[in-house]
Amino acid sequence: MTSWTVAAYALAAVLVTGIALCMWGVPLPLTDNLLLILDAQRTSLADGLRTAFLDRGVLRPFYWAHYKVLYELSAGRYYLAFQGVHVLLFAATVLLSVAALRVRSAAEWAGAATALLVLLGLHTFGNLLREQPILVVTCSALAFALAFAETPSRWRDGLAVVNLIVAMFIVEIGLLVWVVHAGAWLCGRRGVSRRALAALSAAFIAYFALRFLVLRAGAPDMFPRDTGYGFSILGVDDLERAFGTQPLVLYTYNVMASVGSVLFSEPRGGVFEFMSRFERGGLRPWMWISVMSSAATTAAIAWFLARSRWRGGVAAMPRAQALAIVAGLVIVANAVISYPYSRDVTMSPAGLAYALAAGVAVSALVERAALMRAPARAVLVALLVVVSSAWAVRTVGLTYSLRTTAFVLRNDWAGADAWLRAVGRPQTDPRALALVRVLRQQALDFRVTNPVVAQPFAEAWLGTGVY
Amino acid sequence: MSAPTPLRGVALVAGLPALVLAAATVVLSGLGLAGANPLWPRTEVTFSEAAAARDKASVMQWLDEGRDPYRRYRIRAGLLGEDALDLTPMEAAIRENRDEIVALLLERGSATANAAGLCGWLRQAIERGSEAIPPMLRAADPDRAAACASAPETR
Repeated sequence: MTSWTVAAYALAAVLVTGIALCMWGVPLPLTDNLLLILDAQRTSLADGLRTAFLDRGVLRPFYWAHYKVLYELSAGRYYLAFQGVHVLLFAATVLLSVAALRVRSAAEWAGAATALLVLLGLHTFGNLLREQPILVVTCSALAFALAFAETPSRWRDGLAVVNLIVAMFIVEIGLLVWVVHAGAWLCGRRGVSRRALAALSAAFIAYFALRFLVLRAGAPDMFPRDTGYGFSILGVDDLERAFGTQPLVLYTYNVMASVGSVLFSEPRGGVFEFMSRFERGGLRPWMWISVMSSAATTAAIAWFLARSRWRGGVAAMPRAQALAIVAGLVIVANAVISYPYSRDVTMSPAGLAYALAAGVAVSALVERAALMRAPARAVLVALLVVVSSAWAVRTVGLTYSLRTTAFVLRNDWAGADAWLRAVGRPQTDPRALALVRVLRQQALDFRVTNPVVAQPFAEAWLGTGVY
Repeated sequence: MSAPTPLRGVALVAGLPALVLAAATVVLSGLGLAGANPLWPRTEVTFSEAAAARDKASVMQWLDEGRDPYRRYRIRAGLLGEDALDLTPMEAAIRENRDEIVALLLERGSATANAAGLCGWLRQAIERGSEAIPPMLRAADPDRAAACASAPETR
């Protein structure tokens, strides 16, 4: 550890604290949480897990268990339990990302500084912070930190296996934890032992055997939900009509769109909104900032990978190159797992991988700049500052969108009863009614600033995270 | 931090945006905890401002607390136009086409208790080109709405 290591963690801690303060006061998302919390109240852990293991189309028992455990631990202080854990996991995710970058030098510090801005400013992460839970992305960050450690150890091996098991039973993209470990191993990294990698691979294979041969989960439904296609969002009925006989066309589109969303911030949720607005008007400054900063960062990563040269096979591959290659694998694998529909938030592990790749690319650019003559160095450094500043604006945009979200969610909770009726789940049980009343009151009690009144001009530059 | 210059200098300049953001975070978080964040001032809104600016939660809370929905409240200059206005929450909601706020006010009896205003609201909603609000107003008090229909602009 060097003073640059400390400086990187200190920078991360300050940024995390600032965003955590904005997260505190954002009500729980109603539509993503209320039914799960009501289920947690009504169902025992054993029954809930049994039901979740026997679901068709999805296999997410720990996703439900996460709600059940927090509900029981909360002892009525629901916001403290749910949002408190959300904030803690957010902090852990960011700090584990810094650990994965293993900062030791000035150039690595500059890379980590940019990686932090990319991680926090990217729309995939913003959506994740506005929604819940973040746990699977924390698992991905932990996998990177473990796989890219310098030497294996028993506790690291054990933690890696537990991490994979937890992640893959939270949600399908948790399987990316295995992709991180396998990819890192193939690139010569030995953060976990050979035996641990064998155990991880066995667990990975067992997951598929369990899912397709033992349980009823199987593959997801052909069209499980709405998704963006081209310039609009298609409902399930539209998807059936358009792609019922050739779903592979849609799936291929979804995979490509998901990769594009991380690399270029376009399309978003499968919809080419920037292109559409470019044609018909209505582009705002924040949209330009998003697309241009992503394109420039992707170009830097591509340059870094293209110039990668080393001798002596994969075992001799430098750590930075290995990290960028594994990040690329994770981005592609994340998109493939997300084939049924395009949604920004499902690409959040890929967004984390992208930030790490951006970090090592910027480190390399800084080292390169230091060797250049003064005029060329000035140009390159100026470019780095401009791109990094754009990401800083996107990070500020995250705080703006969190405050806007707080306003929207508080209004959602005002209509919680009507929403339950609308989704066909009106509550009649007195305990459930009391729970809805308490959750609603907790949300309404927040003093939330109206963004239209307090910051009428910020939206154009910072955006709300969604088009 | 013994990196050789110019590497150290280049690294620090490249990391400058993150450093500036971190410094701003410290200052603004401190001010925020003291309730004086200049970027997010604690702005109190009136009943009518809340109705105009989609603040359904506040409208609902104030209705629960018994605040008078038929009074005119000040709307600050710049929010709905250059000048300040004095409007009832219903007038503000109709002016800004806030269907969900109008529905909430009607649900809580705003129309029937203040039926004299119904024709005016109906006229205003039609003038604003709202498709959703006039049927809501008519359904809230069909008899009086039918009487309003004698005026051509509210048909």
